[in-house]
Amino acid sequence: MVQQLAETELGLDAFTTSWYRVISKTRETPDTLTIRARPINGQALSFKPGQFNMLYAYGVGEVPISVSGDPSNRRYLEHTVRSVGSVTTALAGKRRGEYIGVRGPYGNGWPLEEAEGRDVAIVAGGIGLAPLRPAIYHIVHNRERYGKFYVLYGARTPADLLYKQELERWRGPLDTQFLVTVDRGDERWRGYIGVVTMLFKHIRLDPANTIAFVCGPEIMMKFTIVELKNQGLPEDQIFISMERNMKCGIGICGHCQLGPVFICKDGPVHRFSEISQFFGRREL
Amino acid sequence: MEREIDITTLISDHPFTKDLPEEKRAELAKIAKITRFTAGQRIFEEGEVHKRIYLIVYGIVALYFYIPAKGEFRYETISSGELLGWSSLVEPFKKSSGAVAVENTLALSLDSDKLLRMMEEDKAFGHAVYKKLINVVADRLRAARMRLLDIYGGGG
Repeated sequence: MVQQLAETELGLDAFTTSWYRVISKTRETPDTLTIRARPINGQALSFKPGQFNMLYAYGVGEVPISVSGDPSNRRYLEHTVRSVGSVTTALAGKRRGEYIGVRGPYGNGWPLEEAEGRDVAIVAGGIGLAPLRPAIYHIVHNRERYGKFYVLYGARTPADLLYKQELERWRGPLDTQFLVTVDRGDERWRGYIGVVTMLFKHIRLDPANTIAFVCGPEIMMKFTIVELKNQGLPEDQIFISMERNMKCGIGICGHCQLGPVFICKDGPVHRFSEISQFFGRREL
Repeated sequence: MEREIDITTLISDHPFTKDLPEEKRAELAKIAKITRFTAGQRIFEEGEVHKRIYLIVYGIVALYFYIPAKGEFRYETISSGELLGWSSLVEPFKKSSGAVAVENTLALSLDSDKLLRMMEEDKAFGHAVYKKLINVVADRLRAARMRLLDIYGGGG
């Protein structure tokens, strides 16, 4: 019945897992790595920045993980996984040549077309940079389509920063203001120290012409939205990526329901004005 | 003369001082000097009585505590447009943390004893400076509270 519903609505078998072979892994932080994998049947790869896949570790379970790679790359998929539970630990433990199941991509993604011609402010906290990385790639590859480009990124310590080599590369161009901060610096750290919201004092957004993409723990997003509003951004120009306990990926099981929306189907990216009354509510 | 003009311009542009009355900015220029710190240079130490405050023009300065057996714990940076060393204006004038330049930094350094005398002699000016100082301390308090939240701890 559920299978039939999914086939009718989506025109595909949304529950079919495709098998991917792990081709490499990159250690990002002590507990986080990026898995690069290629489909064993040679199927075409396509996803929108901000979408997620259900990754399956055989015999252990399935978890939703955002696609974190370059959307213009059609050769392999990248997912950045933090080992926090049995499934993510099993996925992180996969060696080169071993298999992982992939179901998806699901969700809507970041509104990159709506942002064309406007300034874009990206704010990421911790592993929240992973779902935003494809959007950064897209904007960097299509820089002429966008106005001013700001990226604010915060992590606990320098060791907790993701994609360190790319951070260096992305910080180079003069047409991008890419600010990175950590909560605790050491004697080798040469950048800002303080939480990511403190970086707002270094930028001045044009509220009429800026779209903001925000991803991180909800507490971080809560205070980031306060700063964006302080700079004059209306709620309908702020987009956040929500995380909930997603299971089916297509809005049937109800595990990820937040008020009237299903995070997996209607999100994970939401215009803040559409969910602000539910955001941060204790009982939801 | 050229030196005074430069300092007056910098004081007129700095967010901490730019909206003070013109004659007060001119008086501040007389007690200020341009100071440069190279990356890695210590500016003051925790617990030190240090009678200067700094208006950062450009660069980054880290505040830190020294933790025995662990080394420096750098917990906040102060950068362009901000004030470094508020505790030089509040008794007992001891530094609540150490400060080290992270990048090459240019600052306007003001003699805090002379500034306090100016504030004492002109209560309206003193009130205006203390109001600004409260905002600096409030910013530091807000930053400390945010760090307590460990805002990256919940996944993403």
